Amino acid sequence: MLSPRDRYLALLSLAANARQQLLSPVPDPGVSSGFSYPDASGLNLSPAELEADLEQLCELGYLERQFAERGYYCPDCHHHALMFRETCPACASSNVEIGDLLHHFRCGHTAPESEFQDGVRYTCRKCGHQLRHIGVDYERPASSYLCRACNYVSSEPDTRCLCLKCGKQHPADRAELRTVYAYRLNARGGLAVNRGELGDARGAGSLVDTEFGLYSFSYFDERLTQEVAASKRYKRPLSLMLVAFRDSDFPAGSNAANDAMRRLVAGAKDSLRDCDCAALFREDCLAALLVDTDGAGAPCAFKRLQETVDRLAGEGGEPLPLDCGLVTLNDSHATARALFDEARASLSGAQTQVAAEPAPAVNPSAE
Amino acid sequence: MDSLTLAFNGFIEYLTEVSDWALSLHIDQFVRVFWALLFLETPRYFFTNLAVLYWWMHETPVVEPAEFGPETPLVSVIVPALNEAETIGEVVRSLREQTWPNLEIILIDDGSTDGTGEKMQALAQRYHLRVHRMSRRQGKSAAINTGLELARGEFVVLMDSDSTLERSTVWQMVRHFEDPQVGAVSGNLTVRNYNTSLLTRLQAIEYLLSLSLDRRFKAEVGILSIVPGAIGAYRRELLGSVGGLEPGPGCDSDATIRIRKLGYQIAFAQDGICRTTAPTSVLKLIRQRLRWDRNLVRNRARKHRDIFNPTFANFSPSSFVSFLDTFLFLAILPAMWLVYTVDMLLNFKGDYDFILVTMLVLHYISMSLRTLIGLVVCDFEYRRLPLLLSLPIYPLYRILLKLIRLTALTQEIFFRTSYRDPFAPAQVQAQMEVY
Repeated sequence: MLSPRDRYLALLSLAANARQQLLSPVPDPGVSSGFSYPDASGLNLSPAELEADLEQLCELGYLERQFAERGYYCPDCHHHALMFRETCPACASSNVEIGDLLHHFRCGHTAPESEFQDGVRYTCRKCGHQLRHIGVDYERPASSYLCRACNYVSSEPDTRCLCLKCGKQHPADRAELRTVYAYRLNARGGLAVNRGELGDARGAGSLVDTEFGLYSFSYFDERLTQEVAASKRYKRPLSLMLVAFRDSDFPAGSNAANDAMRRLVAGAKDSLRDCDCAALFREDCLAALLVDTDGAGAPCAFKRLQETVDRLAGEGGEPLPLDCGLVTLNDSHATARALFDEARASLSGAQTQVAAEPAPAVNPSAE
Repeated sequence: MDSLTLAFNGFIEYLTEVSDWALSLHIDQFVRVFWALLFLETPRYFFTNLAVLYWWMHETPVVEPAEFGPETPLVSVIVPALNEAETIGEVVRSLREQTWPNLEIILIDDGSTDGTGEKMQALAQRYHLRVHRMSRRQGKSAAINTGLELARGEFVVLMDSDSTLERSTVWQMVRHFEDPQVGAVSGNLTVRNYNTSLLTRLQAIEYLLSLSLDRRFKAEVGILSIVPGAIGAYRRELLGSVGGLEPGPGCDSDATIRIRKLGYQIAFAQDGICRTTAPTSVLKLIRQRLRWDRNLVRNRARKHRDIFNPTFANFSPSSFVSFLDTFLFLAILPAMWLVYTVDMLLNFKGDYDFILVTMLVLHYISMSLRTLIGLVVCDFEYRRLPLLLSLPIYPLYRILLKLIRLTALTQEIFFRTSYRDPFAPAQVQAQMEVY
């Protein structure tokens, strides 16, 4: 099994050799996303692993995303095979028929056309008279939808999607809108391929991030793999914490962003133990590996970090609220990658909860 | 109350005087006064209307099938239109409602300048229609002949772009083609806007009597020789074999006569209702009727006069009787009405008011009965009964129609006015064959 660093380098090499140095998605109904990357198939990664690695390489600054396709996915199983159809607002059956509504002038009866049909003739069920001449004795004022399952008549049906994979049905507006990208090798990625190491990105390939004095992320990545393996083998608790600014609207590279990051780094150095390992994951995100820390201790570590960061602001200083994704290693995490991905998902979830309390978003798996 | 009683008593007294006068007439005077009423109009119109009532009461109703089989022949409906942007949508709507399942709708824009062509194309995008646009106006005949070229149906229905059909009209007409002797079928024209004014109500009565009851009678006895341009069905190949429609006014009656000459019968679909818009002003009515009446001379007296020739290869007694009937009652009788009026004024000077009142009373009785028959037999609706209230004015309307007819006949006999009728565009007028 390849280490993450070797996988990244291998992926970058494949991108370098691809046409126009572009890993393009092609339709593939067998894959959950509906697209696969044939140029990257040599690594024998699962589609989910491959997509995660490509995204990670983008985050690290070696690849650039290019829009390829956008579509709707099942909100439950995230599969692409959705069938959108018009359904009855009352019973959600797709057995609905569109038809015109007929208005019989003589008696005022209004009903779907099918109710008037008497062979090829139209006969009013209310008064028994025949409808003979449009505009003279009857009119078609509107269309209507008739549900054949429950006979409900509606002016507009619902649109719902049925997932052909998991069989669940959802309102159309609940379908998950996702973008599928092609990934292009950029100059930094090209340099990494030529050097055979991920050294050009922030601290990658070296032990320490010289700018902030933390571990480099490549080291962190290696350490994470090692710690996950060791913790699994010796049944030791291990937690992973990703921390990001809640109000991350600092302009990238601005003084405000740098000041905030320095406060966060200082807080991390101050509050974390020596045995823990912290590295910058992105421009605005810090990753911390909390060794020998279980699900109960991890939130305490985050709380300490938040308090330290707030304390560093001094009196009258601006508070710096943080969002956190916390995951504790358990049996469901087959690899370090899985643990890291879950921490990212947990952080994303915490960031999207508008009404979330400042407490860390603890992943249920950590409980 | 007293004055009303007095007036009523005076009226009854006057009627008694009139009847006494009529009964006191010598037999030769009686015949001289009432000859047209007794020997021509009553048998021709009143008795024939009674015959229609009799047929209607004894006919077996034909019920439309609950569904049509897969072998239902294709029927092409051709709608030529000139500046009918406002109405063409309604025409298409009524065609799309037809119960006949295998229908091909062909719209021909005859060089309209009011956006009719664009409207047609919009309709064609919305529905499954065929649209053909003339770059310049060619005339109704050319538009229909173009439609005939495009049509693929075994039968064609020709209709005006200001008319709409009842749902079963196409079936009501096409079913007559089960008889191989039937070459064309006339639809039953009714006035859509009969409630608009007194003039349209009078036209509604006229349509009921002349276009519905009378055509039913003529079709029953085999002398119907006109299929109206507003609604008619033809065997497509047959219409093609007689060359389609000839240019100029009266093209519909001309085509029908040519089909009759080939030995085919013309049927009348009484329940094939087509609602058309009648002229709403006297001037428009006069123009329309002048054009219709000139065809009496143009087509029947001149172009197809060989109908009267017993040595003609395709001589047909029924066509002969049909033409004779038309000439006698549509040309000679109106002319005789002038002579009769002068005769009465000169020779029955003192009794002319008695003659007038007698005629009016007999007329009201006859017309009321005939209109009732018409309302019962053709498309009966209670709401049309108030048409009877317009009958007191109807004699004046008939006098107007007689004067228009006499004018039209005179114009055509002496000046061939129909060949300058703007019904055909100028370039066609210049080239059309003159009879």
